[in-house]
Amino acid sequence: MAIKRYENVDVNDLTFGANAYGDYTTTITKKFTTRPLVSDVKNSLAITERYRVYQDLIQFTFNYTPNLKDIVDNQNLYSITWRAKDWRITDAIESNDRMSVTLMCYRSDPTTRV
Amino acid sequence: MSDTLGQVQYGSTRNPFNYDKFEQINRALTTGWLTLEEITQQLNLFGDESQDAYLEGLELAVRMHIEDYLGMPIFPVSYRAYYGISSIYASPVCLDLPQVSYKDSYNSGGVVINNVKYYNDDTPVTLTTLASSNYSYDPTGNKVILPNGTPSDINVNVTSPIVIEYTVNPNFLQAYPVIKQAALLLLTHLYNNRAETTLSKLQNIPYGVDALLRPYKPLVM
Repeated sequence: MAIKRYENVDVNDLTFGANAYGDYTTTITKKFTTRPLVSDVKNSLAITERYRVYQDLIQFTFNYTPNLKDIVDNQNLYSITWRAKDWRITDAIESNDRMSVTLMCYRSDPTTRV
Repeated sequence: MSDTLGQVQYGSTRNPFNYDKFEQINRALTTGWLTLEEITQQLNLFGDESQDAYLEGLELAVRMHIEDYLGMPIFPVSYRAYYGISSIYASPVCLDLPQVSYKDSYNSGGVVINNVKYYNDDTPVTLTTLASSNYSYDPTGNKVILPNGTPSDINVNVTSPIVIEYTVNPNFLQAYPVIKQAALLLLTHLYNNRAETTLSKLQNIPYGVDALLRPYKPLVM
């Protein structure tokens, strides 16, 4: 049985820009620290012809606050740092009574040769 | 023999609780008790400060509920008690304050008498303040004693001619961790349940708010 637990995470703002060479850049700035319920941690592997692709999926359940409402409305502008790794939001699911928000987040490891 | 109305026969004291009615006249409505740090730790919000104003409002309701439940002020609460004419014939005149859980019999810091007033027999009646040398507070019996009796010009036609205003100071129990824990439990409950009704039946957890506060609740409110 999976054990849900509360763990500290950082919620970050993402700022998009371009550097002097025209490369797109993403700046990650910590917005606040909070403590969601962490559950359903899944690490998966897909093997392509040449590479192993690891994709990790996780669920964070937060209390519904004004900050979290903004994350639900603009999920592309936020990321979450959990265990020193950066997670992006794929799905933001409000509970029907708006007491909590579940964010499904993914992270891709660098591809590894097969 | 003097009139002993309101007095226990053959006793030097009388039947307790001779006030007609009492009302709260001052209470801290904006002062926080639990800190935001304690609250955000409890709710796992930590650095998410976007709800602080709401949490502070919730905290006030929780603190007032615990004060009311225990009959014990966490911050000073002032009351006004009214006494009818039946109280003034005993000798000496003894005016019971409504029961409080914290009387502090030793240094009388628990209850402070702000003033004792009476309605005189002028027309129209005037509320007159009694000099503080004419009364004293008895912390062991939680009553005000008027050793010289009541003033001769007291108005016996007024239903409750004597009025006492007093303040009950914070109870030292409010710093007990067990009471703060009960407050945090209650706050979490109110935070998570913001409607009067639910779709499913709520159940209390064991060792909850009642269990934590029960030892500190006096039998008399």
